[in-house]
Amino acid sequence: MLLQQVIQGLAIGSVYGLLALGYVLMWQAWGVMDFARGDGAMVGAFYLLIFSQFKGLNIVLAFILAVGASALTGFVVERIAYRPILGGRDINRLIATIGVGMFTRNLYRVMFGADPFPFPSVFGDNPIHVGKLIIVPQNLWITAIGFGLAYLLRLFLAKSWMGKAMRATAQDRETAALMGIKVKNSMTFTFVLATVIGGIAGMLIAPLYFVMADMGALMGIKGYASAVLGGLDSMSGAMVGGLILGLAENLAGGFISSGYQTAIAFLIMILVLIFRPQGIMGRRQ
Amino acid sequence: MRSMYPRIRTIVLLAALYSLPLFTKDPYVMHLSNMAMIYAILSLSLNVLTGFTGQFSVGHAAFYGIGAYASALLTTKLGAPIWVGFIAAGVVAAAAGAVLGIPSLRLRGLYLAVTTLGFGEIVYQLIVNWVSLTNGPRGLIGVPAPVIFGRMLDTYDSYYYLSATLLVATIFVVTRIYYSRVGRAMLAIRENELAAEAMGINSTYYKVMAFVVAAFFAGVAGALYAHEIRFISPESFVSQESITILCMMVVGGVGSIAGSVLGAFVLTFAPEYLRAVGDLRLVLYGATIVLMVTYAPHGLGGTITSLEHRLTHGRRPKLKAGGDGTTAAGV
Repeated sequence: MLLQQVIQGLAIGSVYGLLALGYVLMWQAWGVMDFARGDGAMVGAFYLLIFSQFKGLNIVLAFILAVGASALTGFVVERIAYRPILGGRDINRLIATIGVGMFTRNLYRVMFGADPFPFPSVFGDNPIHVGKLIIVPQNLWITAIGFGLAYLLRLFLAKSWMGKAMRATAQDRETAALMGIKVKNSMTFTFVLATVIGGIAGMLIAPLYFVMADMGALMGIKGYASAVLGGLDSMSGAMVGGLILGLAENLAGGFISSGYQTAIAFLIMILVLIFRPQGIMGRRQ
Repeated sequence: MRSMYPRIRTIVLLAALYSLPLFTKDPYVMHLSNMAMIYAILSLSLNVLTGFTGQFSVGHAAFYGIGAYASALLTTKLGAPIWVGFIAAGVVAAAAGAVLGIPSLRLRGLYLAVTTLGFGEIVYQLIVNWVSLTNGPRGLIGVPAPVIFGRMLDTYDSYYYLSATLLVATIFVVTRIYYSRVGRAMLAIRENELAAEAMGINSTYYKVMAFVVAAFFAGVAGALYAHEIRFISPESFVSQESITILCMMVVGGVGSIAGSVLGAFVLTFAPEYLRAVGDLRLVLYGATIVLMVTYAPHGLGGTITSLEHRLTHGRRPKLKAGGDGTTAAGV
């Protein structure tokens, strides 16, 4: 029972972690808490739904197309809504992201209705029995893909030229520009990357929950909480924050009360922040 | 000689506010007006916290909900008089504000925002799950209508006067706070907490106080809502509601008192009048918010201040570069 909740928690936690990575990327490069992240995940999940279910494409091909479509969406949104207000006040930029989220969520509600779409389990439904333990394969897959992606992202940021340029831009825009980095391109790329990672998080969670226009609100809040819990200046913190939130939620749901699941997760988060205001892995200012 | 303009303006605005029900008794318009005034109180109270003191909150609906349930429960279950309900709503919410204000001493910016967000979620889930007290998701029915001077305020247009009076009272108190020693201290903390402390301002005291004041008014707004709609359920106090209040304050102008009221009215009425376009209205609503903050960064309040200034002084005032909306304050 305990182990089962832990496995479920790890899967959900790795999805939260991916969402949190999007928040951390945005926070570092753009200096804004992006409330539209969750809706970006919703859009990603819808793309996968469209390509794999409505168009009947092979799941791998559908996934690749959905990632491409997410990237394109990110690029367009950045041009229309994020770039123009880059020099604005923090609170205005934050409200702009809320506006973008509202726009997206309701656009999808107009296009697809408010009803949830079931998403078939891609990784097979047959649970694996290990002793008394029943493991649903998709939980393992989600955890593996989540952490695999986080690791790839880490490699990309540490080793590749583009990744280094993105980190330099995040650290100090002016100096980065002086060093010959095309700051605007690098910021656009960060935005697209954050959208794609969030979109993949949405695609991963699609078989666990339903795909619907309103799914972004809750996903956004969970990702935001994970990012802050882990520390906004740390990539590994985002994954750690996501895991803690996912585990706390599932354990609280399994052993205390499923009604208070989210409340308990947030209570833990607030307690952690009182004792470590900069987040678990964050640096002290 | 001081200009007569502000005084005339106040009288005209008050007269307009109180005479509105003489022109229309349409229940739909009256109900929307009541809601707009409730939101105006909420947005004003959030302004004390965020606009004056610079403490970010994304959990304001929690205080609103606490106030609504406090008053509704007292009046339905214990049969307390309505005015007791209103006061209790404010006091209970203020106590919750003090509790939430304490972590605020160690957290700032986005870390504080996420704490308030979490607080909002916790309060929401408490309301949903504490069925023996709150009746859970099914909500509380039969919240009584107030009786004032022997007259029962059970129609939207009679209730209007109560909403208007509480809104005027809130505007008055918030304006007094803004221009008082307390308000100056809050502004100083917003601008630079370290410098404020060096000037002898006890920032701990004022930061918690901002939470208490903001929560008090939000609680009263909750009671006002509960007795207007006469039925409350947890769905009225979800996180989305906190975000709506935040949008009203920012679209109105951060730190601007007139702006908060205006933002609440515009964002309450606009979606209703956009019903003509059907489901697309919330899409347009989102787009409007993005356009507003991009092209009117000082909010409606800031735009009005510069128009007024041109009217009375014949030229455009200079808003501080990267300004903070303080220039747009005043009623």
